[in-house]
Amino acid sequence: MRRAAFSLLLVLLPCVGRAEHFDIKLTATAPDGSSKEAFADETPPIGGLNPRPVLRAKAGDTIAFQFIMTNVYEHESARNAGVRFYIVRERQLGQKAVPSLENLTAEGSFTFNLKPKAKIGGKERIVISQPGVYLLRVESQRTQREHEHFAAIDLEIQ
Amino acid sequence: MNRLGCVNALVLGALLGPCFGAGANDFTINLKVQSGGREQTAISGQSAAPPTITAKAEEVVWVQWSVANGATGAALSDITLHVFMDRGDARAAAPKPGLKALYESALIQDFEAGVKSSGEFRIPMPEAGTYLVRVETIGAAKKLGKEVAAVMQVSVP
Repeated sequence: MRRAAFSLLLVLLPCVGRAEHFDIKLTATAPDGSSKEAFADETPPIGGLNPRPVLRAKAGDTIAFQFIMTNVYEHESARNAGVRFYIVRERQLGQKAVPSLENLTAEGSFTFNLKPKAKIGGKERIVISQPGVYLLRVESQRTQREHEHFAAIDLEIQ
Repeated sequence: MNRLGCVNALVLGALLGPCFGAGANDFTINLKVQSGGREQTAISGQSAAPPTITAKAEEVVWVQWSVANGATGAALSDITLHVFMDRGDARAAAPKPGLKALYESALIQDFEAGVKSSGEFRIPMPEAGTYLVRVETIGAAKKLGKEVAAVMQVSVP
């Protein structure tokens, strides 16, 4: 039933319609129930067009995040397309440049043939034990279009 | 067919599974888990008991999977690849992720003959316990007569 619920979530979640190629909805939730959402953005400019929301939590808290990406194109496919997500420490909130990805706190990716209207969803629960500022980001890769899309949230761990 | 109908169809497909089965061997899931220099692999349909890998609390576990439809495999459409990591016993029949699963993902893809798909994630193990990682299809039974899965136990003493 839970599995069915997640599958249903993928299919039934309303399209958010903020980007021309990919719809993305990224949500991060702290143990106190506070939650932030981010939607599809693109570069250039560096860091994207939208200001990043900030989720505040404590070191040792379990942060739950979830993303749903939808290929908006009805007819175009892309072989070996990808989706990548990660959490990485950054210097400051709202930092424009993506930090070096050498020491990721968490990460994951998918490589697949992207079909029209395809949906990709993921969720993860992670404990961040060290205080600091972190970037949570999910992004499309190798979609054979003029630019990729992403959604991002800053995590301020106190 | 709505999604609920698909789920019902899956249940029906599982019941009718032994009646079909052609082509299932062409569709393979390979699951690999690495932690602290150790490595373990599970391949769909090849082992009676799920393999086990040991990790330490707070140690990062790297989970990788690949899914391939063989060159002579039946074309499969709208296959959901469902992956999760949760506390639990990998030997359980058709385990399902709970609301507090460490990781869960799903993507819907077509698998023509020769098509591959892959994914990975790295996650620090939160605490001692028994965990399972499972990569499974949802929707393959319509063509293959059964769903395909690879599963592994992750033990954190």
